[in-house]
Amino acid sequence: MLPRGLKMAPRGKRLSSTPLEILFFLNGWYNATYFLLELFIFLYKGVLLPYPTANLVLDVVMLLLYLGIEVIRLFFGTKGNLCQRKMPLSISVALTFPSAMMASYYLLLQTYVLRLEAIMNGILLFFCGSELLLEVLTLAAFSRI
Amino acid sequence: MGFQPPAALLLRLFLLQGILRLLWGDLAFIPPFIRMSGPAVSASLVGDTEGVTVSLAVLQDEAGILPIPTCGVLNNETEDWSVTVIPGAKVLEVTVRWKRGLDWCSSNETDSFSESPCILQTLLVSASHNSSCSAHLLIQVEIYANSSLTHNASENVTVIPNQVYQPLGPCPCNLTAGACDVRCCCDQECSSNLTTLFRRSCFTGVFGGDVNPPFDQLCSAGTTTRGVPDWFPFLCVQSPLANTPFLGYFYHGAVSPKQDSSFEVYVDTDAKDFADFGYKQGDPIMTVKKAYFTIPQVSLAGQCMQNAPVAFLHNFDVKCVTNLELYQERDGIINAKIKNVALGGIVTPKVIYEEATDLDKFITNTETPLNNGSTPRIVNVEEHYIFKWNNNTISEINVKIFRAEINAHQKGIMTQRFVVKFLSYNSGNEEELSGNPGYQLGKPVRALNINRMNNVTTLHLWQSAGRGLCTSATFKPILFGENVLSGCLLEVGINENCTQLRENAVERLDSLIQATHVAMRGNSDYADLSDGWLEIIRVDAPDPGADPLASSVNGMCLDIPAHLSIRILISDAGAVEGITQQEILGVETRFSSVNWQYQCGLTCEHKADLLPISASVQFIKIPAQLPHPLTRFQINYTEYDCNRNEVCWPQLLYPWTQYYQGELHSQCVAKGLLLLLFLTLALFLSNPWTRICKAYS
Repeated sequence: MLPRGLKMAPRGKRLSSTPLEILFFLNGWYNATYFLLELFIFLYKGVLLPYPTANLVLDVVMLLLYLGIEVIRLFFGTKGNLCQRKMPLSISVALTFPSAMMASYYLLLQTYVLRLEAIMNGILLFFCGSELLLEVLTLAAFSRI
Repeated sequence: MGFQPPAALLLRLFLLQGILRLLWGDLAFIPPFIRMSGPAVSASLVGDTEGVTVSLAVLQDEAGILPIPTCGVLNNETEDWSVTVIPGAKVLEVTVRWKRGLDWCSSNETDSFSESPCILQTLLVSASHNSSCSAHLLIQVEIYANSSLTHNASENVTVIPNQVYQPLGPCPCNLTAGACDVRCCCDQECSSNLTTLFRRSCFTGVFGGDVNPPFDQLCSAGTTTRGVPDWFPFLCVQSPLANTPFLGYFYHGAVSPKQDSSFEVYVDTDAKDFADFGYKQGDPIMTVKKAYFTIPQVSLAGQCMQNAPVAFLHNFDVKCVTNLELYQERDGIINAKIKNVALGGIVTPKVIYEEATDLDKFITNTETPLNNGSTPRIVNVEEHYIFKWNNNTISEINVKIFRAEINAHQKGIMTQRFVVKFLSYNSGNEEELSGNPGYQLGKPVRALNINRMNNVTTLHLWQSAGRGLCTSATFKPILFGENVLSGCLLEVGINENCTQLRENAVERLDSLIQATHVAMRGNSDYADLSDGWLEIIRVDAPDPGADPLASSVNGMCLDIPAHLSIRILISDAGAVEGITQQEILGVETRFSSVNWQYQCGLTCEHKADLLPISASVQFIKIPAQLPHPLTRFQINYTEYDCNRNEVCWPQLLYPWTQYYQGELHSQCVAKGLLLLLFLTLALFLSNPWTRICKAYS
């Protein structure tokens, strides 16, 4: 018996979104690959190109912040979707916007944008857009109880 | 203003009275209405000036009430104004002066009210002859507290930005100031239509304005120059060139910055010394002591500014009216030395003193002191400065000063004249140009008379004086671009017939245009008739002996040529360094006739009547290109013309269309989006949505 106050969904009526969960799973592995590759890319740019030191430090620090935002966003999204809770899913929706902003920064505004970085950030933006759409639909489904 | 209705009505009344009374030889003020913008103003009282008394009254500023001009109160002064009368040859010079001085303006008001007039009054000066009012002078006073100079010497200094991020001279092929350089695509003075003509032939490389060359890792650079490794398409830099690694490194002298540039603020409290870098037109001339070289000049409001800086290459000829009691010598300025950049030294003015003759032209005496034993005082009545300039510095200064000796305690008004001319160092005694090559506004129209030995002349107009008679009128040249109307009065004896009158009038009018050719440009050569000289088209006056039958009927004369019309066609003829050059295309002179009758009073004794004759100059500009013909839609459907309708469709969404120029377009869009955001927030936080959310949760 569960403690009083917590209520579970009735058996046989599951509202979690399977495509959203697939996207979160793929996005998690993709983000891990992305950040490792970005560290190597910044090493490459720092050695080969005349990268100003202040700009290099700024870009790497922002990359670490971006990693934190992504981890929190994916965790709350997965938890909200699987537990059919609206509040974690709303937090994940809210964190999608700064995440898209960071991807746009690395796509357009950093000091040197390599073509590989452009391709990878384009894929990240695609993930953000798709997850945002599915999260909104899942929130609507949760609200119809 | 409340002053305008009574002043305008009185203006018309006095103009009519003045003209009529002048014909009968009575008293009249010339001019009958004066708009006063300085502390003193003068008018001439012409006519029978024996036994005339002049009085002054301040009109009240009640709108709509016309005061009756009365000469009952004969007061020459009020608490603020004074009237002085100086007799001349058949003329009385009446001077009205503000007694408190202009310090009264700045002491009572703060600087924030310097734009509004300080003194705003209407004065009425009346002339009495044998205890009866004969003439009136209306003076509209508008004196401002702060006046600006007519020849402003500007102190604008070009701010040089940080050359690390904004290279100085980023467009090396921009070689002409104020004009478009062909094949120079970075020239900001080229319009988009003009750039389209040579876009494919632009100068490339650094000379074409490309001061940031592409680096090796750029994606576009790799495919064109050399062979690249296999991983290059993925690891090449595709960001724009605004983030080039070569930005600013040229000025650091290294590949990477060694230290951060510190921000320095340099505050210079001294006057900016332009002489060290060379003068350009409009810069104030500096002395060795880092001060301005000042000469009295006249402000826009007509005041005399004693310490006005002299602007480089700006000629002027001004007349300053000062009180002899307040006059002080300016010897310290005469001995000032001016820095010469090219020679590395200084320029000392060469001063020549001459004695002034005919002091009546400069000083009007009001009181002669009885103490004859005092030492005399020397005043400068005229100062002529000639600056010789070479490139961007001054190489020579010649000063000619006309002085006069007066009594040390003499009182009165002195009119000083200051003339400044800038001449090139290699200019001799050639004729002065009116522009090079096109005419400049305000310069005399150059004319030629091939029927004389001394054929250098110009077209003239009258400048009337005294009673306005043609015999006492002097000539003044016709200035380019200024439409002028002037005239004088021709005395007609009772024994003259119409033929003689017509001949006299034509002779007077012909004396203004004693020229056969007019220069097309401002620099046409006098010795070469084919160097742009246009023959004046003359439409002659009708035969003076025509219609003799009507000449003796009641003193009526038909077809008196009393008006000369000079029309000058001008046009734009190209541009030199972006400045439009204008030239004359043709000159036509034409006479107009009037019917005139001899006017006499009750008796027709030996008394001369006056025939007014006039001349006008009109400059007509011919457009260099034909204006665009209107389409049929533009002619018929005027509902889309914003100048003809009250509804203007392009201005319907006004802040967000391109027609609105009050702010930047991006700022308008940003404010519009912000407003949309606020509306969206208000919509979603309003009552219906809140209740819907509560129903769902």
